[in-house]
Amino acid sequence: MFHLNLAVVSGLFLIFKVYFIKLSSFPGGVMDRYNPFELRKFVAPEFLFGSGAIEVVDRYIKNLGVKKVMVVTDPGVINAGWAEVVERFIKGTGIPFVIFNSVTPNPKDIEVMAGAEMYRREGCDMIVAVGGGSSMDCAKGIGIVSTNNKNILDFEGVDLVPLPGPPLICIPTTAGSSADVSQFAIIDDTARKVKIAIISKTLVPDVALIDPITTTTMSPELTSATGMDALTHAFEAYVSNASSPVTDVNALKAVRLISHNLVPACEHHYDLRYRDRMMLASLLAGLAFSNASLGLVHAMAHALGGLLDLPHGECNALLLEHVVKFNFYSSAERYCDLAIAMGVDIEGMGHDRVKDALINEISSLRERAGLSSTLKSLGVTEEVIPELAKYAISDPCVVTNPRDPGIKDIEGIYAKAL
Amino acid sequence: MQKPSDNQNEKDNLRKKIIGLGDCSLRKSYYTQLQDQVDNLERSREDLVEAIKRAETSENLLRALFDNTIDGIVLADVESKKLTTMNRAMLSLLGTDDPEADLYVDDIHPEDKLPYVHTQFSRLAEGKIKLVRNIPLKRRDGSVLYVDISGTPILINGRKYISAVFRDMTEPRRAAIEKSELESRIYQMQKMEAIGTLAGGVAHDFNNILTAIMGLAELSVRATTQGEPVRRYTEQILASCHRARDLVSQLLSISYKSEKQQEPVKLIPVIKDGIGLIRATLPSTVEIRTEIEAEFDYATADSTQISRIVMNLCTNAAQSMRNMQGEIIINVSNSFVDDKYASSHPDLKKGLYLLLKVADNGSGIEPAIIERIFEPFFTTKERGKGTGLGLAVIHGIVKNHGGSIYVHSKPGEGSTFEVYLPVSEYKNEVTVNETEIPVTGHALILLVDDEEMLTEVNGSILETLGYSVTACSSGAEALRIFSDKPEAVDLVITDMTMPGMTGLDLASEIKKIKPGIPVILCTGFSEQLTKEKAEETGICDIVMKPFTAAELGHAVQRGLMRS
Repeated sequence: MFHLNLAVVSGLFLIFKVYFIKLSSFPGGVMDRYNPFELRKFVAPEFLFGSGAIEVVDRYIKNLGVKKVMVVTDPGVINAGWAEVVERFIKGTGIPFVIFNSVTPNPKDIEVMAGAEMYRREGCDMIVAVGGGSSMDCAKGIGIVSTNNKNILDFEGVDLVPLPGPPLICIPTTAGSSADVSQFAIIDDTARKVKIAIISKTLVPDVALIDPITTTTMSPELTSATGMDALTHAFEAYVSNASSPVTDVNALKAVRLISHNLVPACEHHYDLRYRDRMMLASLLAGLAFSNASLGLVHAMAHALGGLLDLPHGECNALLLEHVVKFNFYSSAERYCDLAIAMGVDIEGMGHDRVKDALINEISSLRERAGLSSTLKSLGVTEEVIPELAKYAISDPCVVTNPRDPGIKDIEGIYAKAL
Repeated sequence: MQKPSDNQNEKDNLRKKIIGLGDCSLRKSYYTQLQDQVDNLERSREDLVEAIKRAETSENLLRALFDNTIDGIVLADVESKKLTTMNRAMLSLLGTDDPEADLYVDDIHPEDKLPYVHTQFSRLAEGKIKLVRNIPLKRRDGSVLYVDISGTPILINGRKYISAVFRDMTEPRRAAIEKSELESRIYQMQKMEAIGTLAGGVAHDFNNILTAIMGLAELSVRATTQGEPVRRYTEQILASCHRARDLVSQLLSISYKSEKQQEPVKLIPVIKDGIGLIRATLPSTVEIRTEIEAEFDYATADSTQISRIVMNLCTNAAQSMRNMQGEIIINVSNSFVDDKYASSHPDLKKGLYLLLKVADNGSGIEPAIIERIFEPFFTTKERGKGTGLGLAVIHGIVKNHGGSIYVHSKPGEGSTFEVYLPVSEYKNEVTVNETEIPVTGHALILLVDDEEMLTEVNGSILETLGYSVTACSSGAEALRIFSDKPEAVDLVITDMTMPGMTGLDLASEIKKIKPGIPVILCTGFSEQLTKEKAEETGICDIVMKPFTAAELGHAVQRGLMRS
């Protein structure tokens, strides 16, 4: 029995064990960072990428053989018409379904619990999430609350979800959050006014149907905010102290794609070429950060979202250049790679110049994408900085940041970003 | 949230978990749930195996109880009337051993009873009744059992069934019928006995009267000359008296107390003679088939009467087959009546019998009248066409021979009469008939009868025959006269039944005084009196009342010749 189970485990689990043996003749500078004796794992859902991916949702639902489906979405997605498209396909299967649409940006614990109650009451046995990071994180929360019969806040932290949720199909309608492939769920603890991070392999969806067409209905503002979010994912994953060769490839490719396609995507939002590349960038960044985790930018952005309910993508966009500045020397080689990926010619440059050039490039891209606000303009004041820093330093994303920050460091970064 | 500690180890652990290398860093999967499910299934399976074992034990126990009852148990589907489950006892009731047999209610009852069975089935199904008695059950071999069925409606998986218990009542029912038949036979026997006693009593008194009338009429004839009107009238009186005597004789047969002419005889030739006689008188449409199977046929019997039994039964059979082709089967066989048979047929004693069966395929006898056919004057014929004495006389004759007669009949299918006559297992010598002797003589005869009219009449007859007669009216008086001059009296004629001293007693007293003297006994009937007993006492002859002058003369002559 035990041996059989092992076989099942290895069959079910997608495990990448990558061994790198350091050879004296090994070309390329970054590789020498890897410990040849460290086991590495790469987790990803089954995903279908491309225009029309949304149209096979009925087949997946039918194949799962479920009795009742819960669709989790938000009013914005309903207005855009994507929820209706998914509904139409589910109706075609003849399997009954209910819709839960009480999801707001920065999804709240109460929303998750309300959704779980509806899921239980309606006798559902699978979830389809349609929307951005909020809808998908909420759906993940509803799933694990339902199977574990606990409050959503009980899962805060890493590997603290005992049982996986029910089958979950994610259909992202933004190109940035990558919740459709990640092991993360960020939920707003409304009582404490703080965003909690739930990191668990049980949160990885079963299937992601990634259809770039769904992003054509995004506004330029949302396009740029989510795009900058994806860029931040790629940056933080690449410089993360838990990065691996497989995450690196994805992160660098994502940075290149975003640098070249974000501004055109904002300007021509019905042009599917740019939408497709941005969606791909978001996917690759997602695969990277889901396995390599994030860093200080996210830790600080989570604090802003929790305390002030600020939009996640925009916070990331405003904080990224400041954190790069703080982190640069702890991982200078990697930041050089990122600068190259962004199209900066660093030929003959020392680290100082590369740092400035990279920060400038990030700032320039942000502004060209239409994000010229500051934290102050979003309503952040100096008074809240100590509290923000306190929350940020205890965020799990800090663990993988290349430079270990002190609380004063974080307060300083917030201050600069004002 | 736990604050990342400065402790480097803790930090490393957290990082390890994030990249998926922690103790619980399983990728999303149903593995743990599947494992739980597998464990649950394993536990359920064990529970199930246990439950199945318990169920099997319980099933075996219930099956043993179910199969080992004496009563049949059946589960019948109310809608389809199918017998879905039957126990072994039920199968054996039905005479089958196939538990899978597809049987319906209609298959296990005789067709003509189905409407009644259906009605009772519905009433059981509705719970209106709990018990149905005396239902015929058709077995596979076609035989029929009678069962009491108790049933209750029950619901199994929403379907309505009757759970019924079948109890075989065939044997108790047969016993009850036998008991009632026995009772009816006893009743019949008592009734016939009463009728016989009545007939015998009437006949006795009537015979005395008739003897007087006949005697006086004969004297009147002698006292007149041919051609006188009075003589003609008197001769008419005599003729009527003869007819009356015949009737009384028949009544005496009914009483089965007449003791006429019983002698050792072979019955089969007698029966054959009877058949030969009757065959000539029957219409050509009636055929007689005779089957003689008997080995022993010697009996003490009156052959004329036996012949009469055959003829009478054949006549009745032929009459029941009027206007149709018919066949009378006469079967003669030996039958040994054992204790068991005798106990259910109280008028038969254990022993060897000759069984004479006369069967016809005629109109048969209605059950309503079958018990009365042996009663005298009971007749189904038109008034004037029959006396109604035929079967009563046969009954009397058979009884008189120590036998018994039974009838089995179904209207439209014919009748069978069974006559049992006791026979001996040994051959008896047949006695030779007596020769005729003269009727006149010159002896002194002592005539005793309590009826003075009769002493007068008989005295006159004897005197006309040339005898001297001393008459007296009681045994005591006769004995006194005889004691005075025993040597003077040549012969004594005494009545049997007299107050004070019977004829038999008188005879034995007289024999003490004069052993050689012949004594003739006159009697209407006497159950105590057999020829043997009479001979023991020294009675030389018995004359049955009423008698003719010639008969009396012959008897006197025979008596005197013996002495």
